[in-house]
Amino acid sequence: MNTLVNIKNLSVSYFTYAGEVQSVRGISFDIEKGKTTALVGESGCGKSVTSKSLLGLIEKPGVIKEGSQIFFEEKNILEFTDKQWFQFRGKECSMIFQDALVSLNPTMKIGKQIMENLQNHNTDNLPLSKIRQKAQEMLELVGIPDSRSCLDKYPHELSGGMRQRVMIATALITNPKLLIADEPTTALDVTIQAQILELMKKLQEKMGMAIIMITHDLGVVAEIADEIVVMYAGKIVERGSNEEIFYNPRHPYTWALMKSVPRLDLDNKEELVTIEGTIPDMIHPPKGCSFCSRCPYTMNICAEHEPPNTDFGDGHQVSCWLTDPRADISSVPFQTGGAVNV
Amino acid sequence: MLKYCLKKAGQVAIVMLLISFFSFAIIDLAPGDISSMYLTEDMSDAEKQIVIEKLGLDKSMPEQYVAWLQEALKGNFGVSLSYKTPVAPMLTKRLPSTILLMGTSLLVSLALSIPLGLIAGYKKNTWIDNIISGFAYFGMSIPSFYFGMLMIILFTATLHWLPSSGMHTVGVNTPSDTFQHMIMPVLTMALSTMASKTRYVRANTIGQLSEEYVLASKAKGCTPAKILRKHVLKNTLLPIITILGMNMASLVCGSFIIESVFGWPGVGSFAMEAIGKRDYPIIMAYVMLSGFILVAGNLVADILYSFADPRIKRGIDIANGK
Amino acid sequence: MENKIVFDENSFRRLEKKEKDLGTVYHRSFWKEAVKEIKSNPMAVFAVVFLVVIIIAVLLAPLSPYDPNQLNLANKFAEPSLQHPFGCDAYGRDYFTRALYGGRVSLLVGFAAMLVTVFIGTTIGIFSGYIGGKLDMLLMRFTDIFLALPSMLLMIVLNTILKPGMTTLIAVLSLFSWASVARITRAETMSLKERDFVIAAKNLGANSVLIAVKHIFPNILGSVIVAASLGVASAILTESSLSFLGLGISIPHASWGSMLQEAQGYILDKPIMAIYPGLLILLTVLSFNILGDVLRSALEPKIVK
Repeated sequence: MNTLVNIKNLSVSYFTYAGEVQSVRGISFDIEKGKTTALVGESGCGKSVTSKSLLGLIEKPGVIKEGSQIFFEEKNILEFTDKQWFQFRGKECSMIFQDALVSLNPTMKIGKQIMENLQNHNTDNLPLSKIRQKAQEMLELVGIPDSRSCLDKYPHELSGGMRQRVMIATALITNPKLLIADEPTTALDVTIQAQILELMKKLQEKMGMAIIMITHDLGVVAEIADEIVVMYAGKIVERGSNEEIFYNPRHPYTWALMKSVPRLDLDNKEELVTIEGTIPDMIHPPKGCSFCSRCPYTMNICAEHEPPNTDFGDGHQVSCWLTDPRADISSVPFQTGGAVNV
Repeated sequence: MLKYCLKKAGQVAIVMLLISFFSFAIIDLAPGDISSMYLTEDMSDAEKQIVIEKLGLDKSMPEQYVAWLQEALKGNFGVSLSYKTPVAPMLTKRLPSTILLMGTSLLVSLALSIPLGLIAGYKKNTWIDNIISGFAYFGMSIPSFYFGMLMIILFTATLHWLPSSGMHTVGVNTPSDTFQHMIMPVLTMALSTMASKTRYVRANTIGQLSEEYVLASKAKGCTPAKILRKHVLKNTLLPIITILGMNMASLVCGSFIIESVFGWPGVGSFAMEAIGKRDYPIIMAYVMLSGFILVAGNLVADILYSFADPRIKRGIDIANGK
Repeated sequence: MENKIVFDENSFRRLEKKEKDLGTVYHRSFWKEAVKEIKSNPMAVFAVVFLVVIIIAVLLAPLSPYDPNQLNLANKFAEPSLQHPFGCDAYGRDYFTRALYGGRVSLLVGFAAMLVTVFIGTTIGIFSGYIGGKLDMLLMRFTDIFLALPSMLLMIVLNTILKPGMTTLIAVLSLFSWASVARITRAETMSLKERDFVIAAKNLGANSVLIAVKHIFPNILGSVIVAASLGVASAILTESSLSFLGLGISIPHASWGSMLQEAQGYILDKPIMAIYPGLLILLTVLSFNILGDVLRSALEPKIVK
């Protein structure tokens, strides 16, 4: 088995002032060892909440609902005790965040912050000098020049790209099996973005960890992802390999997402597609398909019933009524049917 | 860094000038002729004239102010109207006991408010937070002199445990005796300055705990205790330094009122007495002294803070082209 | 589960007209929020009830059968009884009546000082923030100076010189407290100024005063009310300190602070005299502080409840 993480029926709700916000509504997917899985969707679709669940970082008023399971190497991490969590976080699975400036403690030196992760999981009883040396090696590895003096700097003295490199060094110093990257390039300049993605790819080859890349930027996804999971309003609407999703999207939302970014490799005369409307109210999620109100091909059934999950082989799965052979697919510009088992 | 300190010191000088001018102007506007306190019936007009000229009372207010300022800068705050002796030595003689009271109260209030605020912030909205916050509300809302009076009622009038007034029992001069006299004034003053500090530490702790670096530390596998100790504590306590500076105001004014309640022989009760007698040179000197303690406290706090927080220190150095 | 879905011929027909999901807007008004916030907090309920009771009580003070200033040495230090619920003071005056009249003074000074403070502070804050530029810089330097001054100290000096009385107290209290209100309202105005509805009004040609009064003021009203509630608390507290030092209300009239000053004289023999007025100050100030904080939390945008 090459599966590292197996998420089954994960549901997370936030109990807020206005009511229960159902951020994630029963999603299931796998993460392969050493592969990169991209979680794609608009803000508020539940992708960050999904990643936080993986580290047990859902806090009040958020609650992981009964019946959810997350297996990490066959252990259900949702049943972990506090102590098991402390050992798990940072060691088995690390996380990097969108804005490295606020994710680093402003009054603690860089070196100390990197070393802290290894010190928390110092099972080999390395002496402090060794840990410091390891931290310096990590800084070299992530491409920070003058790594020795960087150890004694404060976060505000580095540039945005350098800070994100420090975050990566911190996350990877323990050699984790899974790295969760929550929009790691969103706050960076485009040129720096490419450098960071390149670095992550290189480090993945070298260290062999799996990566969950959370992003709304399809450029990032195309660059780095092996598998893509498209989320919409707390549900997975489509998932499949990078090529399948990019070249053969079968869900109107995925299709519109792909067409909403300008691409250099396709015919430039193609018009960009916009998705009208906003994501639905997650306190009262719609009865049927959640994309229903924004979908240009809505049928009567869509508003009434949730679409079933249809498998097209090779892990390409779609949740949409359009894949039903009885569907009205007139003027639908992408391939819908042809499922392996209807 | 030096430039920054100098700039801050310059600001202090300006505020001090403003305070002095403001107070001087108010006193000048005061009803009643100051010279009448120096003149006696049996003086001849010529003698009276000499006294008035000596006091500078024939000159305009700005001229008088400049003259006063020149002397004040030399440490000469004039002669008391009621005691007929120089003001400065009388104040400096009483200053140590006021500093003893203020310093001890400051330490007590810090030692209590920091842990209380941290606990309340960390245990936000639990019963322990409710108790601490309720206590802070109480401290914020009770007039300090009333709290002092309640202590006297309880510990002196009812229990006869502690002396209600003064710094020593007559004829006794032992540290333990002074300590007994200090307990009530120190606690009263500490309570009144504690409330705002506790609330501040609490709010700051809550704010820091919601910062993303706390989440990132959790993702590194830090335990809550470690996050509090290694990350949150320093970031929470740094701004306390500036709050200390601002607290100087309540300390100075607190000492004024509390010294009067407990008959503490410091500059505050001395000034209180001077106010009763409309002894303007003493009032003026006291205002300058308190103003100085207050503004200088702020200055020291600002400079300390800029040293303690790496962001500010480097920021200042960069701004100054280093 | 899917098997249970009943498909009819219409099921897969394209839906041509559909209702747009416009999303739900959760509208929150300050007043509704404030009432909700107060109701959910027993301390706040207590504060409101206490303030209502105390305000009604001091308003009804003239109904008392006693003259607050009438000396009656036969009743000197009379114990609390049905006729004299708080007993009598050193001059045989009914202490309860005196406390009610004292409350009138304390509350009146508190409210009046707050009103003047808020009026000056809001006016300066709004204009400074709205007009900006040099005027703003000038006004804010001025404000900063007032914030930096040791206010209590200067109030004491001022009160020493000026003729004691209520007007003096109100003027002095307001003089040293408008600055923080100005700071708050200026900051709020600055952020409102950039909002679309203000820009729209400006583009439609509304004049500055109109915009400030009609568009900006209603939107900062919440913060002003919070500042006002905390302002009453601090004014009453400061008034009591000044009166306690003998620099406030002069005899024979009384405020709670000056009653405490009198009571200090017999504190070792008649401690009860000190307890009543102080307790009234404490509870009143506490109530205004709680109210201010509760209103402030009603203002805050909320995610968690």
